[in-house]
Parts: sequence; structure tokens; C-alpha cells
Amino acid sequence: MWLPILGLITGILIGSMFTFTIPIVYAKYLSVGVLAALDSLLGSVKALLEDSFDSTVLISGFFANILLAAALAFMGDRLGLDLYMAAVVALGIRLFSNLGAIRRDLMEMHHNKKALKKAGEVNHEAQQ
Amino acid sequence: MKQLSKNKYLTITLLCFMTGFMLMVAVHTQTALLKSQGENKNKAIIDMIESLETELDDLEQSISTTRAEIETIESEQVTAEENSETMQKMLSGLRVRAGLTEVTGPGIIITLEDNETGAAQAKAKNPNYFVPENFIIHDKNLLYLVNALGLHAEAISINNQRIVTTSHIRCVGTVIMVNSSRMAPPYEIKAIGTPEILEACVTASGEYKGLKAREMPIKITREEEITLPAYTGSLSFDHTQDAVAK
Repeated sequence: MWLPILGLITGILIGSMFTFTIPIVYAKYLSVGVLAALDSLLGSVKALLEDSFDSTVLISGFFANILLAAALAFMGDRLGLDLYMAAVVALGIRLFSNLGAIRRDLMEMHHNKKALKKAGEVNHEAQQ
Repeated sequence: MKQLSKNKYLTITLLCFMTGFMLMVAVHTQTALLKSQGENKNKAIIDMIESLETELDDLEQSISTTRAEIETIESEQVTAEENSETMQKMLSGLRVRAGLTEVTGPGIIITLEDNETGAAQAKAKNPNYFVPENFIIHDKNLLYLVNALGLHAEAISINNQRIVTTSHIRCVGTVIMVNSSRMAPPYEIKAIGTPEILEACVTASGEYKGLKAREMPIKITREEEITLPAYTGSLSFDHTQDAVAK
């Protein structure tokens, strides 16, 4: 359960340790890609909670989203349009909706647990 | 089932790791980008400062060379002939300042006249109390007006007489004498200097206000160029000696 968070922190730490930079021209594409990756991760968490998780979907979605977002930004640069904004807005909206879904799922789970416990207690009492 | 569950988390963990790494790379890149922009800006300013400093050095250099040139020219100039030329120049300058030459420049002209119409009216109206002295220009009027001009006029003349260090304005019987020559109305005081300042000096003086109050015909005109005559009298210094030279 805590493993993904640990992974994220490890990634951040390692990234911080190596002050590795990419050419400035690609900086924007990478930034958009990061946003897409975050969106995919949140989507996967949501899927986990809703029990509809599929590794293949996650991995393919992760890379496809990153590539699409970066490609959109790249195309926008070539066309003289701020097309990366489209990716940013779409991904931003999805991030929030995913987060909302996760929150609701978690609350529901908590609620169900409580109810189950109560029901168990009631059962126990009844048996006694 | 357990195996699958582990796989799930492993995949997510791996992707999380990648995301974290990418995130930090992006942050580093953006930081580097901002930093380089800042450096570029600073570099432009530093370049500007450096070029200005070199310019300043050049200018200072040119000042010192010019000063050296001036010095050599000055040292060369000390030949007898040129020395006397300088003396001549100095002398002519002093003559101008002493009032021994005709001078010209911007200034004002004050014109004064006896109040004849006022006198006639007063005489017709009230002959017993008529005092003719109240309607004519006196020596003191001229003297105080010249005094009012004092500080700000570079040269002053009354009619054809130039006011110099030994000048005097006085009353002899029924006439005014300036530099021992008789004056007759209209009196014309000319003064060289900044016209506005001179006019202000006169109009602010009590004498001018007094004359105006008595309705004497006094008029001030600013002139672009007026010519004052040279002082023609003698400037004899029989007793005075230069204390510094002595």
C-alpha cells in the first residue's frame, strides 16, 4: 500500500541527487509529460480503489499520455499555437476529477468498514 | 491473487518512481533555464558598465592630454611680443570697466520729465497754494534712481554723461549737474544689465513709487541694445597709491 508513495519519494530524491538537466528546448515537453504521468498515476489509484485495475492499461496509458502530451506541445510549438495549454487544461481537469473520485471512494470505504464493524458488533451481541 | 496484487503495486511503484524522477528533472531544467535568463540579463548590464568604464577612461585620458597641450601652449606664449599683447587686452578690458569707452549691451532706459500738465492744472485751480518745486525733477530723484540700479547695472549714464567712480549728481540753482555738466529735461537714464532685473530694481525702489504717486511722467523701456557714451572727464589720482604694490 505504501510502496507507491515510497517509490515516488525515492524518485524525487534520486532526481534531486543527480542534477541532471535536459536541453532547454525540450523542457516544456517534459513538464507536460510529468503532468500526464501524474494523471495516469492518479487514475491507477482510482482504478485500484474501484477494483478495475489493469497493469497493461496503466502502463500503456502512462506512456501514451506522456507521449501525446509532449507531442501536442511539440506540434503547438511548430504551428505557433500554445497547444500545450490544451494538454495542461485537459490533464488538470482529469487530475481533479480523479482526485475527487479517489476521495469519494476512500470515504465510502471508510463508511462501509464502520458499518461492517457495527453490524459485526450487533451480530455478536445478538449471538450472546 | 496475492501474486497479482503484488504485481499491481510493483507497477505503480515503478511508474511513481519514474514520475518522481521526471518531475525533478523538469524542475532542475526550469531552474537552470531561469538562472541562465537572469545571467543573460546581468551579462548585458555588466557589458554596458564595462563599455562605459572604458569610455570614461578614454575621456579622462583625453582630458589629461588636453591639459598637457594647454600647458605647453601657455609656456610657449611667454614671449615678449605676446606678453605685451595680453597686456593690451587686459588694458582695454580695464578701460571698458572703468567707463572710458563707449559701451553697448542690453538694458533699460528710464525717461523722466517735469510734470508740466500737472503744474498747469494745479496753478489754474489753486494759484495761492501752487508750489512749482513739487512738479519738477530734482537731483535727488536721479540720484536715488541711479542708486536703485546700483548693484545690478554694469554701466549707467544720464543723458550724455556716463556714471563712473568719481561721478556726482547735484543741484546747482535751477539745474541738475551730472559730472559737472548741466542737464535739461527730459532726463534719460540708461543702464546696461539684465533688463528684467534692472526694471524690477527700479520699480521696487521707493523713489520710483514716490514719483509715480506724484504723477511724474516716468517711463521704463527694456531695450535689446543700448549704447552708453564714454566718460570724457578726467580721472586724476594724485594722492592715491597702490598699497599692495607699495
